[in-house]
Amino acid sequence: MDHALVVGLHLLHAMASLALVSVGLAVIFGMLRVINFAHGEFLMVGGYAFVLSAGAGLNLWVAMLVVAPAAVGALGFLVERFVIRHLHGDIIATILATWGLSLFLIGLAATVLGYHQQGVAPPFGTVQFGSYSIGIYTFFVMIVAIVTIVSLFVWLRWSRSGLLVRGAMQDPELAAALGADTRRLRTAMFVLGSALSGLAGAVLAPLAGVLPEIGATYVVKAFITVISGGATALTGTTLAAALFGFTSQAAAFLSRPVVGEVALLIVAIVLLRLLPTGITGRYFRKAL
Amino acid sequence: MLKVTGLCAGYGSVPVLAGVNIDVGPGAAMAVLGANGMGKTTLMRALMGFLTVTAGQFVLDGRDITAAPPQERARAGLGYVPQGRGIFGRMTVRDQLRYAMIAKGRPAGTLSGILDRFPVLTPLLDRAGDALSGGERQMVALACCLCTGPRTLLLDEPTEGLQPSFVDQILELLLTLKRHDTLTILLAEQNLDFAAALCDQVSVMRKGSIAATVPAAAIREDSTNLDLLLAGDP
Repeated sequence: MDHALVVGLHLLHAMASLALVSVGLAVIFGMLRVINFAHGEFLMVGGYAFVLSAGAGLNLWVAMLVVAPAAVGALGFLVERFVIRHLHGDIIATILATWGLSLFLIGLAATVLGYHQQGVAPPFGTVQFGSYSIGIYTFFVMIVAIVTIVSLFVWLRWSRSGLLVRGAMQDPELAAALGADTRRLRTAMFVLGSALSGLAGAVLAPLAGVLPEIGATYVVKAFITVISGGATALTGTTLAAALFGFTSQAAAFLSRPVVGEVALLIVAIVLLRLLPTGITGRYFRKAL
Repeated sequence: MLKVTGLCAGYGSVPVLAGVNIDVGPGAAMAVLGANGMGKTTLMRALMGFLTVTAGQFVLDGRDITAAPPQERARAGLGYVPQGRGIFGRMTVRDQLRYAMIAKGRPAGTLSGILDRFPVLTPLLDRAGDALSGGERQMVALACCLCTGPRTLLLDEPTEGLQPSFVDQILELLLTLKRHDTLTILLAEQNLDFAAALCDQVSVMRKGSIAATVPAAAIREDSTNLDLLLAGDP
């Protein structure tokens, strides 16, 4: 019984982690259709912003929940304002520019901070279930993922600015013809997506540590999750993260972590073969 | 009031509009007729700011908005109903109307005013744009445009593919708006009867410029000359 409970918690944690890693990309790629190859590095920068500011003596929670999202949000503002905006939706140019940005951020982090892993010990300690123990921080990751996704849903569904954003993402030309400042809305959404990536990088840093190249472990999973989610970015990403997180963690339990990674890829390939437009291409089409 | 002088625009390096001149007074309506590919939609998109203007001037209510982005044109009182019933497919009709009300940054009003004018939309409020018929979409597009409070309307083929009953409804509505709200209207159409019934003047567009302009009253009496113009005869 205790074993089943701990396994269940680990499965939930895997789903929550994948949702957190992907939610920023769901906004930037899923909604804005900007292929951001530097997404993993945005998480890395969030991780470093947290680790360094906490290391400098700043309150741990302020460093994680305020400084990291703000730092990566500011980075996102600069990237959108000086790079993405000038590419006018050209897919190849965007891929090349964000790939270059990714290499630049990795190089910069390696030069300034070195290749050794940095981290912060997970706070809260552990809780005991029979003969098994699990970090209380695991629950915190789940709570952050749930609060983030639910907040995004509520904001998009019921707020005035959420409505404006939804229209501008669906049909920018029509939104502009009705008087919406779509350029400003796009910048704001890019900053939001970047800040969410920064938050994810910081929240996962106590568990995964931070390295200049850690982005590579996040970016592929995040793209697979958002693409498999389909056109309705937020709902799709949440469902795909739940499916892939569950599958990979279950396979990892039954075998080894590397098998979990392979299982994720196999499920994604089968899913996209059956539903080429992603989960929300066929189901939940009216969702957000 | 809408005044276009020597307007040139196109797609990338391909020119389409070659010096368009249009003058529509306050509360007046002008139709631009022409066969497919003559530049009607390009004209509408250029006037709304979606295409870069390479030469010429566009003055709306005394203000030069030639270089203004689309949202500024909308805020200056220009309303646009694009060809193909531009609505948000994955948004309910209620949200689309709310969107149009708040897009310019104004406080959201109630829907009752617009629903009084468009009673056909009341039972459709919770339906998504994708689930509407062509005529219903046209009504939603027009209602959204009016929610922005325009003084000048750009209508791009609003009757295209619609059943006659919807065409009559739209005509009646636009005539009411023109008379009671003194809206200035620029209409791109292929439906000569609709254009002649709504507008004061009818222009024919050929190869990216206005080839001729005649009073609508003359067409209502005898459309033979305009038919010849549309067919391409000099």
